Amino acid sequence: MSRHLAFCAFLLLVACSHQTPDQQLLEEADPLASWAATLQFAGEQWLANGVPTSFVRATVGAAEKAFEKTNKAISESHARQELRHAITQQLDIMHAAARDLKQAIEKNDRRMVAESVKRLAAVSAALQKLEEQKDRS
Amino acid sequence: MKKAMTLALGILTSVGGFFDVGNIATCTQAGARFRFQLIWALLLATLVVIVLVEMSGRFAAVTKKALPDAIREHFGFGFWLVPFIILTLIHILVLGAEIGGICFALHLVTGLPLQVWALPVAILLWVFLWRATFSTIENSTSLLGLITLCFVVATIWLHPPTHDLLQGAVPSMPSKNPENYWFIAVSIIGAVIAPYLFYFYSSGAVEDEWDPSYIPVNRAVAVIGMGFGSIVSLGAIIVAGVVLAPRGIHVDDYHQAALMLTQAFPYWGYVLFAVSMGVACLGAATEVALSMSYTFAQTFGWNWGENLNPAEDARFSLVYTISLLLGSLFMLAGVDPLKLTLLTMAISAAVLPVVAIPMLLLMNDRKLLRDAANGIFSNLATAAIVLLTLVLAVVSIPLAVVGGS
Repeated sequence: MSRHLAFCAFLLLVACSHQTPDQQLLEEADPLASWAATLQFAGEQWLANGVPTSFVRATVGAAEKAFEKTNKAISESHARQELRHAITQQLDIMHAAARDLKQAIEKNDRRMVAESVKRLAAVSAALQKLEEQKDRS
Repeated sequence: MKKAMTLALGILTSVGGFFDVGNIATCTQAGARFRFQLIWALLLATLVVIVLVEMSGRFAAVTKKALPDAIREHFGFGFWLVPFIILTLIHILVLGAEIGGICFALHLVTGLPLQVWALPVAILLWVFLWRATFSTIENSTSLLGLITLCFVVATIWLHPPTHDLLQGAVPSMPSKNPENYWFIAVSIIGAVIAPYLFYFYSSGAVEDEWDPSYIPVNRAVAVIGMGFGSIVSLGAIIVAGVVLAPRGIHVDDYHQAALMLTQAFPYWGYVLFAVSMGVACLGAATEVALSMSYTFAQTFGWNWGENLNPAEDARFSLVYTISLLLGSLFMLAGVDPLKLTLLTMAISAAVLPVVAIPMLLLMNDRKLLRDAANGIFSNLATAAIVLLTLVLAVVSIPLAVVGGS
């Protein structure tokens, strides 16, 4: 019984690890859309006085760690050039928007925060489209 | 009258003490990724935990012995040694995850890094364990834990679609990320059926001097208390499913989960999340540290009891002192608390047979339990649970490799 289950678990492991470079890269980039949506939501809540500045600062810090990880994955990936380019482009926009969000909250600049939130919403939508591409493939 | 009080307090403490860092991590991940599709895993785990908690309480009430004590006595030290070592490691990992949860809650409130809080939290827990009696610890942390009912209030506030909730109660295949789906399902089960829970519960029953007349109380506490307690976890799945999932927010970091109550409680949601997490983890951390001391003391035949003065059971007190220090090292070393929690839950699920199988054997010993030994229904339920734990033992680690985030 245990041996059968171990075999099934092994098969699952093998099946899941067999991915094309494109799929692998999309998988690595998967958290980006989630982080874009998180930063957008955090910015909205900051504007509504629902979260403190220190929280947004720490959340941007956590998101930046995810950006670095994805950046590394892109540079090591053998996926198609156009896919790598599309993800890099969104990553750069998101990185800039996150940086601006952080600066805006430090300066208590509500207009700039609202702008960053809009940019993050656009990145989030673009990344979710890429995610759908992964689900279809 | 005393039994009615025990029952009422037992139910309240079960509700307040059910939620911990494992539930927070796994339930918010489940809701954020798969909306209500993993409700069935929580319901299944709740059924299992009710059966096992009822058995461990019944065992302690009849034999006046806690489980580790009885397993060592009944099967011998050699048999118990390997499970004891495995469970010691699990205790330290769970304690590290719970301390991580408290540190994260304090980070949310103060904005200071988690590492800063690791040692102060360990010291605070130690002072609490050193000074307080068993009932003070159990009742205060669990009653404070009722704050976690804010997840249930938020659920009512958010009006989730009833039809989707009911669909989630039935197991179904996910449309995407099957490996992540099954990993979270296994982790939910590992978080709810925490191995330390049964040792803590049976040792607590011995500390509270239960006798066979407490069997009905024990049954009611197990069924009603654990049943209602799981509603808080259910609330966490639903709130994450309503608030985080439609926005495409997955919980890869606790900062993402911290936003989940802000929609239901626009100003207080963030604070409520931080306080709920802090209090839930504080209660669980004290229970895990005590469970570790109980297990050590009962394994080596030392004096034990949280109601005793530390001078009367120095080695018992030394174990929780060392375990708190070890548990705080994870946060001091900068380990990601969410990753630590998820890994711990997967390992907890993997070692469940170590807890379930000896319990099944002991519960059938008519010399020990006389009329209170397991009947056919209890044995069928336990056999099903053992089978489930064996499946979990085999699949949890491979799933953590392919499906863990």
